Amino acid sequence: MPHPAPPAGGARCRLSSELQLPSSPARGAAVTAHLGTGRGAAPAPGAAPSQAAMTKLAQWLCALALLGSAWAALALAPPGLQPPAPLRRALLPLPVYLLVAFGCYSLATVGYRLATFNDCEEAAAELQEHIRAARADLRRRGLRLGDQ
Amino acid sequence: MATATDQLVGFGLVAFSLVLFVYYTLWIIVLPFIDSDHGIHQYFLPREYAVIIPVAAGLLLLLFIGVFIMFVMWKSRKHAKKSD
Repeated sequence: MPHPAPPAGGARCRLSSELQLPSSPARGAAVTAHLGTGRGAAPAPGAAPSQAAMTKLAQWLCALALLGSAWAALALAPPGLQPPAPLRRALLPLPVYLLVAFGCYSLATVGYRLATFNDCEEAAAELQEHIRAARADLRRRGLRLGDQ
Repeated sequence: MATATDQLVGFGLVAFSLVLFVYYTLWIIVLPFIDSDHGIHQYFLPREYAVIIPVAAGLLLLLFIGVFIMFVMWKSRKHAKKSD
């Protein structure tokens, strides 16, 4: 839960950086690899080593524990540390408030991305162009493609 | 482009979440600092509902998600059995 996914849409409309059509003859096999597996063999940008993921999780847990203990220390109100009554009444439901605020943010992000969803027309044209070039390249090498 | 319905639903979601955030912030953060005989207090439920309602809504949401996932898995398994 405490790992908010980045709002989808940062990496849309970006084809030319991933689908570089190999032009040299030595990389002809890469075309088939690309066409076969879709994304190719390039490592996904989100696939960090497991150690880094653990560190991120540990960071979140650490921050949560810190905030939680601070909240508990203030909410339990030890004798030496008595916040004034209105502050205390605002403090008690603070975790629920943070949860609701996070939910509001998530909902607003989903709504905004839904409202401003765009078609990537030039990226689609670029992808079609890449497919056409790859087909022509493969056909030139004597591979018989299924259609036509 | 997003259709008109998409835009309506999306900006509706944004407006709903903004209204909810402002109302809940007023309820939780601002209201304890206002005198209890002030007239603004009649627009808010008693204070314990500020915790009960979100918890109940979250439990309902989790229940709904669980039922939905169960339904989808059950349906896909029936589909796979039929195709065997």
